Amino acid sequence: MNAWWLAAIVAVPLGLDQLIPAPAGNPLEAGRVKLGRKLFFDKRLSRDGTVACTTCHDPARAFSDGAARAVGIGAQTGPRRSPRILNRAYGKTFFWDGRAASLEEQVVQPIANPLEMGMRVEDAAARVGLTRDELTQALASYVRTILAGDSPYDRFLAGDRGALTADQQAGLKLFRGKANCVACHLGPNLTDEDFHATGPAGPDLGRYEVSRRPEDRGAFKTPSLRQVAETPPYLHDGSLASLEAVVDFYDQGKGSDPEIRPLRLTAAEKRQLVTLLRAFTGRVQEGMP
Amino acid sequence: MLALLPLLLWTGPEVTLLGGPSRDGRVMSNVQAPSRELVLFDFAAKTVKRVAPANGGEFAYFSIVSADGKQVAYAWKNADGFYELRVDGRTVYRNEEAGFVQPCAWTPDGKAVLTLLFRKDNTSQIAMVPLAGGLPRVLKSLAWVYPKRMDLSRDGQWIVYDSLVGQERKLYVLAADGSDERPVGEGVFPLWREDGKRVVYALGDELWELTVASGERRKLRDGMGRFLPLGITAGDALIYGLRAGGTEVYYGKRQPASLRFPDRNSAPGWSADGKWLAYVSRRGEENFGEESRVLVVREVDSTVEREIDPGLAIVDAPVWSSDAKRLLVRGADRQGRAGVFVVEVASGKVTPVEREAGLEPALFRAAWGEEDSIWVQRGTELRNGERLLQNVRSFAVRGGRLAVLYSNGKLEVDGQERGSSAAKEIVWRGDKLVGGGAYDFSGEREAWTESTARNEIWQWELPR
Repeated sequence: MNAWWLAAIVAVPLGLDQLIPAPAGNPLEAGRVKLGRKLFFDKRLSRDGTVACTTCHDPARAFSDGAARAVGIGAQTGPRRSPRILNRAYGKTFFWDGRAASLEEQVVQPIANPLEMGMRVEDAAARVGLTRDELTQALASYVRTILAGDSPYDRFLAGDRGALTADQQAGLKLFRGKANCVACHLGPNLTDEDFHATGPAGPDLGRYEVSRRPEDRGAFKTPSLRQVAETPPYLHDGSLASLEAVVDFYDQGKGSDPEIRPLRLTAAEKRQLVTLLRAFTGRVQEGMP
Repeated sequence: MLALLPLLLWTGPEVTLLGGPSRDGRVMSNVQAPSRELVLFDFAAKTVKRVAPANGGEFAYFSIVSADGKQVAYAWKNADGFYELRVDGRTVYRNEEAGFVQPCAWTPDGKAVLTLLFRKDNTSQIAMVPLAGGLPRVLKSLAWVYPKRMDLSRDGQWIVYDSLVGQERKLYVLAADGSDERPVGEGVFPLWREDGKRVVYALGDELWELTVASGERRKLRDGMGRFLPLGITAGDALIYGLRAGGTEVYYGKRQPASLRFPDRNSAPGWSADGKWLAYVSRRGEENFGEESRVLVVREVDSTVEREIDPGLAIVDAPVWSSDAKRLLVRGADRQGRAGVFVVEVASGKVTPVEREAGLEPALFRAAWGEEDSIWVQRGTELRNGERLLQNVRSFAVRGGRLAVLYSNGKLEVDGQERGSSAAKEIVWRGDKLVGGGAYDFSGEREAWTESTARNEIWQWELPR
């Protein structure tokens, strides 16, 4: 693939890698991206025609939905909140518990899930005149183009020392130091793509349901912090309503992950961390330029 | 066969493995020891040309020579304490947030340099840095694992690099425009051959070749010692560095501490009862002096010698606890966070005491205090090898958890502030902590490190 041709499909925002990984069997191609975008908004992919991908992944809400739990057909509520699906092209595993190993695996599972869209994937594909593979490849290709970057944080990292306020820079120092956020939230996508039991204890076993390893009980994948200020509520169960509540929660150090311990942040430090989290808000783009 | 004999090009106490040859093989950039001055060796004339003299705390590090042999791109530790990219004295990229840079290859047109950028969150990035200014083009980011070497094919189309995956170093070929990438096998320190179709790389002390399109491999040489591929000339000769000699720990009447791991040992520390020596031992391929490290504990009155791999990226300066069950070390974890760690001698279990991203391990000092408390001193930056703005904290190990005793002028017990008198008495002398009720068990008996290590630059005509 030539650089100019790739750039014609996706202009990568500041802060993200130029290399957008895609499997050999489904290289990023303009036609599939366009088709995938149509399908993403298409409610015919759900059994009763009421739910599209955008229902839970609303472009106006940074591809999340603002609800504590995902809501599917028949107003059924799922066990977890809808994740922001930003920069998933760079993902290693998918869903909160990482049960899908590729976007191609991931995109069809909500269609088949009886709590979400409730259709056999083959039936959904036939309803829109496609094969299962065509549907899968198109949706995965479109999701690969949903990118978030070019935030004040990215501009600061690129060398613009004025891109972050003094408080945000203090927050960044805490993020990397005393608060130890960087243990999990790092790299261009602000996630290690790994699983940690850092959240509140509850009945949801998270990654354990996939791995069956005892240490994975209650572990969930580290979410990217891209556009995090735009997408309350927080954590896999939507149990924290605000960024302030998230910082307070981690300050207490209650999770079982070895990286977690009480942080003893001052009120000013908590405020600085929250202002930094707001600096992760940048430009979200999707589909063709 | 005679043509295949390697040729010693250069050696001497001042030679390091930091540098690379020109395409015509006539010159090679090199950072001198101990001055850290950047020079060019002229192999034919046997002369040394100064390129960038070190200036106090400012000095050169990694460097590469342009395809026409007329320019040198190099990492420069600047007066502000981070690395910038320079070309012949001119700054071409400076960004504190990418505070360590490793130039690896020039583009064929000489307009950009393939560079590794190291971010403060310890991610590394494969980037093209334009020499005319503007932002680097970041092709690929790697979390916590950095390529030891990457190279650009002669046509400028393909990058080859190595990266740690699990416990193995894997090779990848990445399109220079970021449009494609594929894994191509196992290895380290890859370099493109002249034909742009084959890659040579190290595997232990062996040199291997991979034909990228077919995946075919062949061993080119074995028994190469601790070598480091530095570049391939237009004539398809490999220029490589060789770390000869060794570094050894001795004690008593100059008895070597190690029975099983000779030549790669340093940083000895005695246990309080004088029965045990702990030291740091290097493993794996040569890596600009930063190979992987393990701890070794030796019972000096017996032949018991045991290796402990704490799973840290860097480990240094072991200090025994009073009961000889734990070692306090400074270093960095596999996420690149530098700090101080406690290693259980029996199990190898590691407990971080203090760690932070974006710092150098040398910023930390640590010692055991009374009742096995731990004292940590952390500078916030290094200038001219000295720590500035020092910050002292103390921790107690209780029930497997660490409790902060003292932090920044406040003495605390179980989280309650109890005054600050002890902290004011903390005094460090050399690497020993004295005063403040804290003490240091190391140094009561003599053990020391001797080095016969020297670096050599060799040339070997690669077989067709």
